[in-house]
Amino acid sequence: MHDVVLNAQGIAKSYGQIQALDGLTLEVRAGEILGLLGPNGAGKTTAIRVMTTILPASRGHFTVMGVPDSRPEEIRALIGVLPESNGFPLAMTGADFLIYMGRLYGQSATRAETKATELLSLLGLENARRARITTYSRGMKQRLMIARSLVNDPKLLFLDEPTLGLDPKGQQEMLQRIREAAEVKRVAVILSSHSLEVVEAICHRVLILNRGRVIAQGSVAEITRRVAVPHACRIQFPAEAVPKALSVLSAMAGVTVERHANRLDELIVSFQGTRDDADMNAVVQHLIQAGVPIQAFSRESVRLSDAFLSMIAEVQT
Amino acid sequence: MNEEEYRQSGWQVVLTSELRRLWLGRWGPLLLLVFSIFLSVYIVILAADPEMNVLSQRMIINQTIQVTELVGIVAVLLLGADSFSGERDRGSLESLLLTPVPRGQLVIGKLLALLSLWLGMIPIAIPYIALVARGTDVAMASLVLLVIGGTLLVGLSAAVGVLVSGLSPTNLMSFAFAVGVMLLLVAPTQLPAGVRDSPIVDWLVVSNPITAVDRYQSAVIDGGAWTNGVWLLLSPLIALALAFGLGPRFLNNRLSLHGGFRP
Amino acid sequence: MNAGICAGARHLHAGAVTARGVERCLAARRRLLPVCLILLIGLLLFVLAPVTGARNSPTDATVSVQISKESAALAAAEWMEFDTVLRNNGATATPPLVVHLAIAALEKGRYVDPEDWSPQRTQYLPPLQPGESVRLPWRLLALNEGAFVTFVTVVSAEESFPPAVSASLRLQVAPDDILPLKDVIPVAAVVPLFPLALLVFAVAHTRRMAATRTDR
Repeated sequence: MHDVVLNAQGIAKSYGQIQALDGLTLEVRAGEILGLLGPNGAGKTTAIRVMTTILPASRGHFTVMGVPDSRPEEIRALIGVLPESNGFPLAMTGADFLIYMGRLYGQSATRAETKATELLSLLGLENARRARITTYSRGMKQRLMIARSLVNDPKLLFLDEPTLGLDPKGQQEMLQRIREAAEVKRVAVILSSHSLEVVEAICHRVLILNRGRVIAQGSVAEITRRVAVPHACRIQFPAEAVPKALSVLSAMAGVTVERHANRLDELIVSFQGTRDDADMNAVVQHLIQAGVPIQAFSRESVRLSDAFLSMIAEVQT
Repeated sequence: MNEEEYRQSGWQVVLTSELRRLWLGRWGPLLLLVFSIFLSVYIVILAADPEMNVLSQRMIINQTIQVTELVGIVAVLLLGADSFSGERDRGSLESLLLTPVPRGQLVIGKLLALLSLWLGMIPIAIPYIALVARGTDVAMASLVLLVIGGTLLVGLSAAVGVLVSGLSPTNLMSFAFAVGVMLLLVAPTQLPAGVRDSPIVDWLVVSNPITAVDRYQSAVIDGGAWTNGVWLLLSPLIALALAFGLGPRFLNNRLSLHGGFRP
Repeated sequence: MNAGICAGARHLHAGAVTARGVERCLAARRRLLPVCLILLIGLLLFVLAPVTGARNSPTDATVSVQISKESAALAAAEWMEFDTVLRNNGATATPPLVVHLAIAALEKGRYVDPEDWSPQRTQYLPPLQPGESVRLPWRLLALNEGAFVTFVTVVSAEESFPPAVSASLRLQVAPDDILPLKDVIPVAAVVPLFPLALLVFAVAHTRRMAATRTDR
């Protein structure tokens, strides 16, 4: 049994003079969720299309469950894909579409029908099984396409923007199912998203692409630690004490104060330089000495979004 | 399922789905209805117009067969031109390409589904041809010629449409190329009589499947023996064998998300 | 007459120009003039006859043309065959001959395109020897309904040859009935009903399979 589900070495893809992907090397294990990040045009979709055998690589090789990329039909039998292009044969019903896909994966008619029913129920589409896809909303189409990616019980799942078009409840459910697929069924997942919160919430590891190249790869914690960003804390005051707190903190050296965007009783205090608990202690003591009551205190950790933006900016300069 | 079973079942699954789409999805019956109305109007005009009625009966039979075949060719060509490039435009091709079915089997499934349209047109055409051919000694021959000649030409037309569709980046380009190829094949029939008599043009006519079938059919209907000129069927047979034999293999390495000629 | 001239001449020759001699001479000339005129006219006719007589008088032709039929009743789009026999009735061989088939409609306004009626409207023959005859076949398609006449003419490149023409062959062409409307209309009306039924079935099947839309 292969623990390493996907092993890619030096994958490159060029379109004439344009190098869409250059030197992508990665490994994904069973039960692991890898987040694929990058700005628009970074090469995320190209990377997914190469590794799902839709596009041939210009250079490099990869294997899925030990099956080399020279046997693309075998690889396609092992993977599930939520593709970027979200088109359907519109005259079909949702059930017909999933049954058709199941049959194309070699399932018998009975098995395909059972699987289609199970997936439609799982994704909340059981009432629309006999409706034509033309009548589906955007969210319903997204869920149907996710169902399609699961129809062959894949070992490796590629999800390109899985929460796109879903309402907040749907997004939460979707993330939960992805987590279950990874943890319970030991499915390896490569998840590409522009939503850094989504990636931060469920991905074990992150790979950041920019202009076709890997600029960072590792766990979320490893990625965020690599970025030197000012550490900060958030302090909550009684509403009437906020002006005094502002004036006390503004007078301190090496401290930047700003109001919280959504809360009038909170101030965010940032410190330049590396993280140092003594600085935070000094702020708290200063406020207490000034007679400013403090209702709550919390340390702001570096967010993935901060790390991501910082890295991208670094590369572009 | 292993790869061996995919080879057996992939094109069958595509064929079944395409047949359902064509015949239960209304396109097929609608095309047959339009086809039958067209033939009805054609034959009523033929009967009602005294100028046209003085054509010899054999000329009328030949013309009716040609018209039937031409409609079949055009209908199948246009549907074939939509087969892959239409899915490409609608964004549904990627789902199909992500399945483990070999590309060549996708092509075969769609090709055979297109031929079903011609199989539906034949019984519609039979009453009309039987009517114009009644009282002659070529009534049965006319029907056999329609089936043989028409199947050869419609099959070829389907292959051209699907091949062009598989390679074209957009549906519009696919239609344009497919129609262009067929116009090239039909062009020799429009040359002036004097030019047509030259050996080079004669060779062009014989090697062109459409004109070769046309010439053979005319010869048989005019009272020639079946074997007389049967060699004229060589070029359409060869073209069809190449199209069905090599076409799926050719597209097996070239059918892609964005179209294009390179593997 | 010569004697009169000679007598007059002897009188003159004798050296004596007498009134009586002159009268005799003039009388002889008066008798001679009509004869000369007649001879002159005859000479002119003899010289000009090959040109004027042949151009203006068919009855001078040395070739006769007989047509094998006098009349025929055909249906439109029906082929007909007939023969013509050309015979050289003259004493000399004819020049090379051009034999042409003509078709004319007897009703005013009815168009006849000879090209459509016959695949071979002109035949070329070598010279016919005196007494020689040749049979020529003709094939004709009755393209339009109506009353027509067809005939064959014989001409030559040689100007002196008088054209010959056959008797006319009268054609009565009836309208053809390959596709009578009373037979066509039932087929034209009934056959589309089958694909229509198929279409109705397909639509009904699709509606039966469709589910109600869920609230979104």
